[in-house]
Amino acid sequence: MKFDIEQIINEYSAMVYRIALVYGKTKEDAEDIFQEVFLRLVRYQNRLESKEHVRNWLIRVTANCGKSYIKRQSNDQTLPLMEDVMLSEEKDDSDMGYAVYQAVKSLPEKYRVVVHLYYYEELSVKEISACLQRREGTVKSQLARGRELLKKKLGKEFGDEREL
Amino acid sequence: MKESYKSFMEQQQPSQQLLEDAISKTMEFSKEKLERNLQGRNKRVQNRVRWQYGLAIVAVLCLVCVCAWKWNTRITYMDLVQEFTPDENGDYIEKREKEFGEERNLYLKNFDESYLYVFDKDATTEEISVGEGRITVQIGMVELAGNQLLYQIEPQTIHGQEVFLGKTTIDGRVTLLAAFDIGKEHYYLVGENVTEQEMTSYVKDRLKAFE
Repeated sequence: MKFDIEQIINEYSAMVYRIALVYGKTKEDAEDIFQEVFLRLVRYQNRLESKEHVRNWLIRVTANCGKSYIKRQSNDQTLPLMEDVMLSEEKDDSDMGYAVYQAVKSLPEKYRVVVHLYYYEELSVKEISACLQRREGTVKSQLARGRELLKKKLGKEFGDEREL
Repeated sequence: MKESYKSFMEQQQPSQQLLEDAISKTMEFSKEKLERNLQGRNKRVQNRVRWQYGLAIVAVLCLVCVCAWKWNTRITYMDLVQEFTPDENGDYIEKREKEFGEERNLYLKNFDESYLYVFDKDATTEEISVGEGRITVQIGMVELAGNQLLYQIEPQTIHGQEVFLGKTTIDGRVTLLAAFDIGKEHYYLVGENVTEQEMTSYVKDRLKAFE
């Protein structure tokens, strides 16, 4: 199936970028992941059956690209750590949000996207399971463990979490 | 906390530059992909045409080969036409009679005065009904037994064995003849009221049994 790529980019860019941010250490990392996702969309658009699949496909591919990016970076030890250089200027008006973001990013890779999709995109466990092609039970346990870790990291601030 | 996270994330937007880059890169990639696809398609079309021509040529060659092979290996029953006429005195016949004589249990006979026939009086004979007709099989030790005209034509090969095949027509009645050797035994077959196909099929079966 042929898609209007420009329209898809405009429609889902923010979603893809935010998921990429959960994986990338820096803004540039997130941008690289972002570009890679849409190039893959062009390359594999024939595999997409309908427009309804695009969102789920983009979420899954962003997560996969993010994982690959992390793996590549962990193999490349020459890169200096540039932890969140890009966000420092934006954190002043939402310190709490930034702290949560940092906490989410510090989670093991497999929990990050689940927590992000659940709390930010407000997808249900079933939807996350469909997007990431993981079993619902797996998503539930990853979410539970992610929340547990967040609780430890954020302490009292983690009081108003959305219950599973 | 969730709201803080949402609010923080809401502020994170891809820059306009990033969007433009992504769009231009994907467009570039699409164009390259399209060109590659087009080139690939042209190549595929060319290859397909080449293959079609190639296959057509191969098919024609195969057909020619098969036809040639069929032509060469086709089974035909030659009309046996008297090519020599015994002289008025029948000297030729007499001469051959004398030459081979009784000592070999072989007789030459001016059969209905049209062709020479060699009898093998010690041969065993069996009759097989085929369709509406019959095939008489004579198995003996005398070489070149039967209608001598049969041995003047080129033998044909069936199951690797040389077989003489011919037919005579007397008063509109066609008689098919076949002769071949298996080991030291000489087979002479006479098919009456049978088709060439039936005769050939019987000969093949007989030869196959000894392969």
